[in-house]
Amino acid sequence: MPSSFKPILAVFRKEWLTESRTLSGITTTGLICFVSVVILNAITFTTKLNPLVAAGMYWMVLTFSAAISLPRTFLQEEEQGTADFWRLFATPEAVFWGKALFNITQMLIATILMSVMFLIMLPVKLQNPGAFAINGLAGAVAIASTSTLAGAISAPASNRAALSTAISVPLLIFLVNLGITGTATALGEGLKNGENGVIGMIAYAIATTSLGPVVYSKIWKS
Amino acid sequence: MEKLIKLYQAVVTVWNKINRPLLFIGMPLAIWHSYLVGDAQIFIRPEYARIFFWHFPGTIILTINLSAGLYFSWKYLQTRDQSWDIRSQAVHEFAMMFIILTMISGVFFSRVQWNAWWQNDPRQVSFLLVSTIYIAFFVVRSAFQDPDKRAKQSAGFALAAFLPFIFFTFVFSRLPQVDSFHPKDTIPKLQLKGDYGLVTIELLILVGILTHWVYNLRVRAMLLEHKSENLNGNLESPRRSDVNAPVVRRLSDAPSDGESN
Repeated sequence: MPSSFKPILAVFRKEWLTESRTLSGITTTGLICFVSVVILNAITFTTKLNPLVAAGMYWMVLTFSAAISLPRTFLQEEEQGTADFWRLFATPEAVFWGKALFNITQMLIATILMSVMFLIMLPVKLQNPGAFAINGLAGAVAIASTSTLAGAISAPASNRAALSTAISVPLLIFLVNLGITGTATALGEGLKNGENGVIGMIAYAIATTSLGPVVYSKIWKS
Repeated sequence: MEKLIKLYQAVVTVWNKINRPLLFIGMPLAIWHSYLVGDAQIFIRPEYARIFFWHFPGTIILTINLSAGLYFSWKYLQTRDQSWDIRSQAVHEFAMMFIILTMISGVFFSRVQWNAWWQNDPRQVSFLLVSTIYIAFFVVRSAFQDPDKRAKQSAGFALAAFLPFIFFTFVFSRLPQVDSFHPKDTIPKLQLKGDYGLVTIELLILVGILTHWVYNLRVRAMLLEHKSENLNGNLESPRRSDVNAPVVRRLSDAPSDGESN
């Protein structure tokens, strides 16, 4: 294993151990996704959903569950007063990547669970499972890295919890648009060049994960 | 290198002398010119197509402002010099002003040409989404009392926000599900020709000069405000017993601890 991965894995391991004590992050994200799908089911019943509308609902649920639950990895460091510990002992890139990796894992679990529930409970027909899976997983990565960065930006504020949600949603809006294109195509909407949405989502995921550590390394020093 | 700097300074000096006369003479002429060109017959209400002359420059200038905001934010994070943050704040304020003006002119255009105040056109919606991103920029700024933290965190947000802005501006309109009333190829393929193209370019240049002039004034005012705040930091109130003392005085003029004892 390259030596540069060790600090990242150490941060990830710390996050995982903290999470494993209470499982509050995963249960919060999972509950929001579950309740949202149940509500969508209660709204639609047996009405056949237009793939574009169904894709819009799918991405709205993922975005809002992420915006509420993911930035807390940075927020809790400020609340517990341990942010300065990281500034003393770790590089910004390792801290960001470690926390982003943890958020990506959490978001991937939530996306997989939510996708399964979505396909079972809602009246939609999956036409292209490969595009649906790739689009969802790339979207989860992009959402997680963007939310992590929003958490890092809002962490020093006194109203950090409200601020992180307020700023992560606007940053995630375009991702919703890209996600809808790919997911609607996978659900059978006849969009011209709809597969490009999946490619766009992968590109956006790469761009956000690359941008995050650069921005964080610039803002983390007091 | 020195020659280049001198040349740049000479250009700036000449520019500062001619930009205001150019603006005050050019703007009325351009407005007059905009009423001389014929009506655009392809629109439902051809005479109101002139709204475009005021709608379009705003979009270009706000894009330039937000790009400059990205650069100033980056420079602040590199140097931690407050003057870069002041510049960043100023260009973001102007960008927000142009977002609002473009939105208003677009709404009027929509009303007269498409018979609806809000058409749910994807371009209108994407522009509204861009405005939410940059409202969030000012929300971040308002969340921090400490000027250094405010500058640092908002600069970080400006860097992060530029990516969705670019996607909304240049990629969104090319998504397959997006079918907009706004033409996609007019600007990239230079389809705006004749007098309409000329007036658009004239107003784009003049509104650009106006923005640059007001931006300079805004930055100068904010730099002075910043300097005066720093000056106040070096002043203290006099003791109540010392009635002859000035209202405020520099900390450096105050007696040391040993002297006061």
